[in-house]
Amino acid sequence: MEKTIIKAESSSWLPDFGELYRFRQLLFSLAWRDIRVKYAQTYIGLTWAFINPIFNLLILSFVFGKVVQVETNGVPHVFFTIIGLSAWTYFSTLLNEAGTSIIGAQNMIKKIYFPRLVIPLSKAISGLVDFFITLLCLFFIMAYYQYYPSKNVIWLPLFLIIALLSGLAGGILISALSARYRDFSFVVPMISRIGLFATPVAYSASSVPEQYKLLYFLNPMAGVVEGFRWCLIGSSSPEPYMFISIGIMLILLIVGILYFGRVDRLMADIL
Amino acid sequence: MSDSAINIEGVSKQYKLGNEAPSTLRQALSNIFSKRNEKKTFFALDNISLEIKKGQTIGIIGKNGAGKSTLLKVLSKITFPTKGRIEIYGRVTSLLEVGTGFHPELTGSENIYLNGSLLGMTKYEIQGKFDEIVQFSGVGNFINTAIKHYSSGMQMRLAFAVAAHLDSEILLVDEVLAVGDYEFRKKCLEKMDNLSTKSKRTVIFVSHNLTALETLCETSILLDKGKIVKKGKTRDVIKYYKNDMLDSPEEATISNHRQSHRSQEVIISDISTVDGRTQFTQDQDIIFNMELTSEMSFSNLLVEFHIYNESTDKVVEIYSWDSNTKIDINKETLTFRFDFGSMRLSSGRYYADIKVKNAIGVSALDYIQMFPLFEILNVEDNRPRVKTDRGGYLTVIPKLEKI
Repeated sequence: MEKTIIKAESSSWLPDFGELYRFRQLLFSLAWRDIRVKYAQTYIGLTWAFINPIFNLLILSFVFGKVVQVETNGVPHVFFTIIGLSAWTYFSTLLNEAGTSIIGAQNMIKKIYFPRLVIPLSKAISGLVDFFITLLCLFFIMAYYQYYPSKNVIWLPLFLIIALLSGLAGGILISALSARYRDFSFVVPMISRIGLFATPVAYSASSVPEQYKLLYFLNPMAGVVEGFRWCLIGSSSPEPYMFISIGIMLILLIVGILYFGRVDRLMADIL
Repeated sequence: MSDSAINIEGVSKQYKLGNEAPSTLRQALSNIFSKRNEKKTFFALDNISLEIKKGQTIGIIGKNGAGKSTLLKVLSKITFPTKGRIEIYGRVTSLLEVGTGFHPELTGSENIYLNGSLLGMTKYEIQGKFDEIVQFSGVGNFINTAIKHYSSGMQMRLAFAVAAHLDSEILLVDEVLAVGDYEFRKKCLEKMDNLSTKSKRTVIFVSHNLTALETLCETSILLDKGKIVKKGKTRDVIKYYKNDMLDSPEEATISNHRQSHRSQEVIISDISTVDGRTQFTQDQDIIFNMELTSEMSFSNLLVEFHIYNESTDKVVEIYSWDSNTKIDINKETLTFRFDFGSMRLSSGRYYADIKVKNAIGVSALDYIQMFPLFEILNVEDNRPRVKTDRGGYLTVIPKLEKI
């Protein structure tokens, strides 16, 4: 028989991974709920998932491809950009949804016990629907320009996982911070806006001046976007700076989970 | 191994009052620098120790704010104690609010999966119980319809069905049965009774409905201001609660029963029976005066009375709008006389939730909660055998003639 001990002081900052595993069904139920609800209430349903990235793609290609005319090594700018955009959109959506997820779920948190970490985690799954739709657009564009994926494409899942972990790292941290201090819910839109330009979505990271590169790759998504392009176009191999991106992501993830664990016990009282 | 299901040792839960807990970064920062640390706190639970045995069904009784819900929240790990330690043997399901996590856009069956997984069930557990849950909820063919099209009763039945079919050893239930129709309440009570007697589950049950507590729970505890003041057989605890904890009509004051401080634009400033007496016999007319004081001008106010008996079953709702007199008030104090006629109630004390409103359904301008309004005496009047506590809500004295 299961024995639970409830004490005033928490013994561990780490989440209870065994419990998290037992609640795995909740992860999928919450994700399914989000997917259903997102598209059930709109008339043209899933079409929205296409419209959003296509409009972003058009404006970015116009500004960076036609007006600024950035260097893409001969790759059509639309194709070049949608690769970055697919990774970036998944990340920023996940960051936003996970970051606001705890405040959004306060009614549940106050009435039922379940591992709270499931809430932001489930957003990583529901966000995948939009990601795969963007990926579909990407493959259409790829076929249109008669490109074949390079053999590096087998690494794409790895970079997707890094994007997922980056989004979760930020999202988990912000969700716990904003449960405590509401101010932090304003941070996410800011990150999304600045990040789109601080990430090599519509231009190449190789055009970033060498002296800024160290700073530039502190952005975890800089490495991911370059990685995506390496997988699909097979251009130049990713710069070693990418490991800085991954390192930052891991640090953020650990800090996020630890801080979340600390706020976890207070959530029902402070929300 | 002991046969206890839950062992609570010296548990306290302290809350800070007011806006002491900083909710923005600025407040948090300014709190560091200002040293005014005159923290106002109160104990929602104050050094509670209790052992609950396996298979026991225990009731928790107490007034609003006595700490009943906080105790259940602590036991279900929603919030954590400030002091003390709890050992729980077995899986806990808590049903603090029916239908938490239900989403109106999802179908009944999707909501079963969502709600079941919220309560910690795996997909296979839910699949295994699915038919039983649908059967119990009685929603039948609507199971594939979005639950926004359900009646509130149907949603309730579905939610209770999910929780009741969970294989947990310990079930915590809070006020769930306050809602829903009679048939459903009966079904839920039977199910809970079944869980505790047949399947040897441990059930902790919080309710204002003393009748339900008495039928369901052998033992009960009485909470007051976060402390356990009485523990024992439910019948005895309820008796103690009625006699010692509930106000008698003679000593009650309105301000003690005012539910939080409302806008104070209009308040019930006094309630008094005509000649100061609060006891009536069952065939006497119940007449009292209510004084309303207003700082603003209102026209056609609504005064609602929700009258409860000692078991806190609702007996009747009385609305001032059903009379021919309008309550208009303009920055003044007015007295209105209410005459409920002879209500032919059974003997006992009667409590009223009294609300002053602008319109039906809106929140109350003034809200007096569980105010002891009058008492019906169990007297034998000039006819020797008339009794007023035969059972049920009303006393009906038949006219009988041989024809």
